[in-house]
Amino acid sequence: MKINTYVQNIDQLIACIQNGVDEIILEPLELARFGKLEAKSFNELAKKAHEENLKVALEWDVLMTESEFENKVKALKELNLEFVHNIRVQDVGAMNYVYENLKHPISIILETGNHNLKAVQTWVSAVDSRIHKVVLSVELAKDTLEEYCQKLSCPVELMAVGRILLFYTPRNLLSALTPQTDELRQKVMRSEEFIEATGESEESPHKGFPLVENRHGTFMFHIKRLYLLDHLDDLKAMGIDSVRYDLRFDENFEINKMSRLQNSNDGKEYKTQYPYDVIKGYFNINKTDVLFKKLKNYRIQRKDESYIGEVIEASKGNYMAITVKKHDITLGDKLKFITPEGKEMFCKVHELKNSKQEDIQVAKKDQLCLMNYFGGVWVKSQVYLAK
Amino acid sequence: MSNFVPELLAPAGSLDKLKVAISYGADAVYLGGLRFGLRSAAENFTEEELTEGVQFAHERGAKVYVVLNGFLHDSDLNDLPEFVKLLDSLKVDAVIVSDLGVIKTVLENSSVPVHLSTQASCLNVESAKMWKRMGVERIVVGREVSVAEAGKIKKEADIEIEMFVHGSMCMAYSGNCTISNFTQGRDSNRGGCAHSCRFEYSIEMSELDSKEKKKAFFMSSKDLNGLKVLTEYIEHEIDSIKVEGRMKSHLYAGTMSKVYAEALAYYKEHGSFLSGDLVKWDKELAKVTHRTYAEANLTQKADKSTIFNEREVASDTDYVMVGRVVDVMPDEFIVVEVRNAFNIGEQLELLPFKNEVQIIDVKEIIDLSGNYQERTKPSTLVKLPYVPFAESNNILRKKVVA
Repeated sequence: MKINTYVQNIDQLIACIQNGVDEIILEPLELARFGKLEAKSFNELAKKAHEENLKVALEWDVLMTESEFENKVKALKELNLEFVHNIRVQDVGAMNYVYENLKHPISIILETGNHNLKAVQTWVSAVDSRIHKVVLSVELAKDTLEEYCQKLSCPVELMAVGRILLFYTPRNLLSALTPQTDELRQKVMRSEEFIEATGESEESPHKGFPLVENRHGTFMFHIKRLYLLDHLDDLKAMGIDSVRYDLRFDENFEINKMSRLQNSNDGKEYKTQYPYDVIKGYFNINKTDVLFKKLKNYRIQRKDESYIGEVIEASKGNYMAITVKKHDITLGDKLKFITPEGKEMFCKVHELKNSKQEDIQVAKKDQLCLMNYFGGVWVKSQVYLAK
Repeated sequence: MSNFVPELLAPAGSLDKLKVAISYGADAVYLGGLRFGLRSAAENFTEEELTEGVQFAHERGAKVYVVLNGFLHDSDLNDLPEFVKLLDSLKVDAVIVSDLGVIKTVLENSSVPVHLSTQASCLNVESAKMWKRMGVERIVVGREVSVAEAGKIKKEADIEIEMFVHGSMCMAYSGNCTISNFTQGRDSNRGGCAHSCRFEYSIEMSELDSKEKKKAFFMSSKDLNGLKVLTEYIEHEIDSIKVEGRMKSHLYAGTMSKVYAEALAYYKEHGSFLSGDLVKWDKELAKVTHRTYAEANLTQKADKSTIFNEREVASDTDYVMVGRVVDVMPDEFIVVEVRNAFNIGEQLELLPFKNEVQIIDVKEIIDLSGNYQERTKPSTLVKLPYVPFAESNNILRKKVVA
């Protein structure tokens, strides 16, 4: 299984060369969300890596409106792409630009959404032979990842350790909190500096969400790092081609230690030294849709052909008012009521009136009618013709 | 004189709201089925309601777009072909999709046109070209796109463009927020968004002067209101302007449809928005519960002033829906389904579909058994004296008393 990682300076590059990293990811200041490299540094690092037989990937993962797009293309043209092996893209516009204007292999970052094989396969076919690999979402569980690795026609990359990005906006949310907003923004725009903070939500028991603002916007991360190094055996067995070690926000660039981890046991052992709180995310199972059923009352949904309408008033001892939405009600009909609590009740129509309290034989679609009261039937009960 | 105006696309969170939106002037509505969308908590439409909704809309010359805009997992796709075939048979006018797997499934199983959801964050010409190749016929551009940029995308990618004109805004690039997924176990991109961006956060940052953590609603966006830049939408030939809010009330669906439909109708006839009614439309939009309005990215990049750094409370300019007209006996009475209580002596407003707002000074309330009431109760029906222009499904509202 190959290893790739982000490199931000020559020391990190040397560490990668010395420790058998297969691919380095370089992030230009203008093109990558957390980019810090000016064109000159980018070109030097790419050249050096190439000389040392390290594969170089260029990360172009910012999202761009049309006006920004032109600036990004300009920034791209300032880079020497001779030593770049593949270009990593997330914005579909960047993907199309690279596909139509450059010759480089394309790595498609599908970490946001793309949780079905059909979507992933269709993206791969969109760039056909130019595909280098797909970078899949950490929200996919291991069984799914294994299936994708088997069925996809290209290699798969997965983040194995690093911060989990939760939120990305182009707006400047941290500098806005300070009295010196403009000054801070100018500073951020002039350099590769980030404004960093932590946030604690009143809604969530989680504390200390890392926050970053830079020239590309504001980002929020999970309070814990994703850590799958104790599953290296699983990752290999399922056919993951390369694992990404994202050390960009680590205090120490410990690629020397991480690259030596050969199996899950090594990963478990290293976990005890790893200085950050960790989670597996959804590696074992993803059940993020199970709560949806509790979000609404399915009992009040109309269901079948015998549907009549809805009770909109139940005046105890007097009448039930029904809006007729589909089938007519005729005097003498036997009706079924399904209450919001799910109870089924049956009642015969032996009195039917309009809103003037005049007796009627039939209440037609879109009409309001009053029928004899029946205890236990409440507002929002659904009305059906009893079979 | 007939000038180009965009389609007015309104939210329909339920069949009743669909009828309200179309009756008040929406050219098209968007709605969700029971699955595959992003509003799991909304009432949404059963198959029967969908059938009735499409029929209601088509009979009135309005279109129906069905949202299938979740980022679906493999298992979610199993039942999708059948649902897509149903939509095709019902002749829905388009589906709104974010996920490429869903697009592919729709194209394989139906001839329903595909609109790309804002959730896919299509922001530029190159992106639009790629989506077009994928079979998309219309793009709902990301909320970060200005009207001018949207116009350029339309022109250069040669594709229909739909743009938000009003409503709540995601602070994040749509589809790029997974806070709910990891903090609540609810997939925000499959309908489980917990609106984490609307809560207060305590921020610790060295750039802040104070040693104390700063409390702020720093991720909450003000609401979009594009009324005053409608001319831009027209100049850039945006095909459809969209109002956000499938989870919002009947009052919201009705007011938005009425105001924007009136404004567009005025432009269609006069070629400008220089109407004496401009102030009235603006005031009407202010009467619906909303966060402070802003124009977000419509004409320039959204800055600090677009952050809604407040706890959400009702404002004293808000109106509340007191009821819906469910029956009209011309020249005699109207029957109102009460949603919020009102008293004798209060002043209500009835919103006719076409005419001016009608003021009602409540002098008499009678229940359907003929008893006089001093005060109404929610979920009851009452009769009020007949109001000119009243029709079934008209909305009644009153000012919120702080």
